[in-house]
Amino acid sequence: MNPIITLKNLSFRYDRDWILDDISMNVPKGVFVAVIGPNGSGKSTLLKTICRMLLPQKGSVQINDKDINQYGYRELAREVAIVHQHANANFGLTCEEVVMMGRYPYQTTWKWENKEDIRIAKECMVYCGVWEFRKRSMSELSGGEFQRLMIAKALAQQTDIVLMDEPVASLDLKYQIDILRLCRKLILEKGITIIAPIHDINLAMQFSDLTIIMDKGKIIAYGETRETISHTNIENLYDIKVKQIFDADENIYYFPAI
Amino acid sequence: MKKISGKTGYIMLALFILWLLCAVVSLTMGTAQVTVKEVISALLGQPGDPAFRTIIMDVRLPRIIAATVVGMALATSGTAMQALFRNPMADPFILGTSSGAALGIAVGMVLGIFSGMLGFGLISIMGFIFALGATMLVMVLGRISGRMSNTGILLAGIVVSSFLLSIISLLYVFNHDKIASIYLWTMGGFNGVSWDKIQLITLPILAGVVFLSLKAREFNAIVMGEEYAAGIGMNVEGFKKSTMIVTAMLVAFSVFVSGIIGFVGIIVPHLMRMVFGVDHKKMILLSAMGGGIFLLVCDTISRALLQNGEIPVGIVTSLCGAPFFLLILRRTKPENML
Repeated sequence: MNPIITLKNLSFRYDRDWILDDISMNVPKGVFVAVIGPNGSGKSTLLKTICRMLLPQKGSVQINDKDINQYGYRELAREVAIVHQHANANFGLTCEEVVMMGRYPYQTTWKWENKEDIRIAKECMVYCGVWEFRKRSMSELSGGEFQRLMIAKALAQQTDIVLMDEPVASLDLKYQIDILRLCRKLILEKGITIIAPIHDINLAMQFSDLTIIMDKGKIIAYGETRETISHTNIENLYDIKVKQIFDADENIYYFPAI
Repeated sequence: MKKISGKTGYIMLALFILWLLCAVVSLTMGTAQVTVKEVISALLGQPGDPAFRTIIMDVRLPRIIAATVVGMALATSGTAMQALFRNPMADPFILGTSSGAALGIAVGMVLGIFSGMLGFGLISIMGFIFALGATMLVMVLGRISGRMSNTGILLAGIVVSSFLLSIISLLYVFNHDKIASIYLWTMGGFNGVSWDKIQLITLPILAGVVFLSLKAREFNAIVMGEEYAAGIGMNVEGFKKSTMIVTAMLVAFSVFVSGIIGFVGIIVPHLMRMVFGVDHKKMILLSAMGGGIFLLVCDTISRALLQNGEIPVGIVTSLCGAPFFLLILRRTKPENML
């Protein structure tokens, strides 16, 4: 099966130093790819180059075997949706208006939302459990509810790829699990490919299929999560001693050895 | 999730009726006392006192239309700029657009191209080019470490605006004999507005308002953040450029007719947001209508307060607007702010 995303010798820099340095990889369809690495390792930049928010100085990005530069603005947003870490949550739009923005790639200057758009937006809100908030202002939502709303908006774009920039950062434990379960549901039921930087290694272990380990703009390791997140890789990546604990189901957990 | 809900339609109809009432009252007010009956018969072309007819049709009516159209342009520009820069303080005056337009028009006056429709057209184009240049200059100067910063934009806007106004003052000093009218014009007002000028500005301003209202979804998205807007498939750079060009045009035509009138671009969008919510799908058109009514009322007050002469309308916009704005501000919900 052809990969849905192909990166070839991708390099990006803002000023002098390369933030992404010669990255090549393929991502298959319908998997959850976790990206782990220290702060500043290039995780968010990687996401932004995949959706063309940043243009790489070297290399190429292909979505469904087509170079990303050959896509129109709306056309690309029908292939790739992104859930941002920093959207303006204080803007007082109603939740249903926010989810409706996900239908923008299917509209034109003259053709605004139609019945089909309204049906899809409703379906996505119900699916993500935000339908009951539809008339509420987005600014009234809690962190976890806001994240669900952003995922509903991304879902309304009806893309095969959803990029999530640290989707569980700053959420409490309940919502971390809640959001990651929703991600798994999207993969299993809708066949969506998700790429998400995640700081918590144990959550990445439990919820992702594949893991990319990044450091200083390079991919250190990429493959099946249980093989990639290894004791040695984690100790080398963060330069700390790590304890490894197994539970009754042979799940592995890592903790810093303090 | 409708484009314009039934409720918004009723609000717009109510605002239109309010405008109509204000316009009729405004036609009756001024040095010469005219009754509502005389106003209506003049408007309907029925026979009556020719002096009153001239006052109504050639003095007051052009002024009412000019105040309405300019109010619409300034309020819509303010709404667009506040969303584009995600800055509640942004308006054509603060960001230097008005001062740029004023300089362009003042230069046109010095060069002596201020007569006839061709002259009006040329001088408006000069205002437009200078307004666009000033806004772009503010955007460039307002970048801090390569990123657009709210504080940087505001500071740059204030500096560029003051600098350009100083150049206008210098032009006035060195060309005192030629352009004495510049001084009065920079004070802002609708005294002596002619049908020629109205013909020139009305269509472009209405087209600009329609253009910006068609971009309502884009304004909503850009307030969420530029990356967010790009993520749903918006051409963010193209949108920013087209919005700047259209707002510069709206401001240039407004300044050409009425000089610099501050406060409308800030106060009206905020009032509308506080009362009707932040969604640009209704906000842009409601702001346009609110701006038209607000400036019409202020202009009417400016010429009705004094027995002889009139108060510059800019003073009235501040005097009327500030207390009303503060009253609404105290009662508003946080989510209805930008």
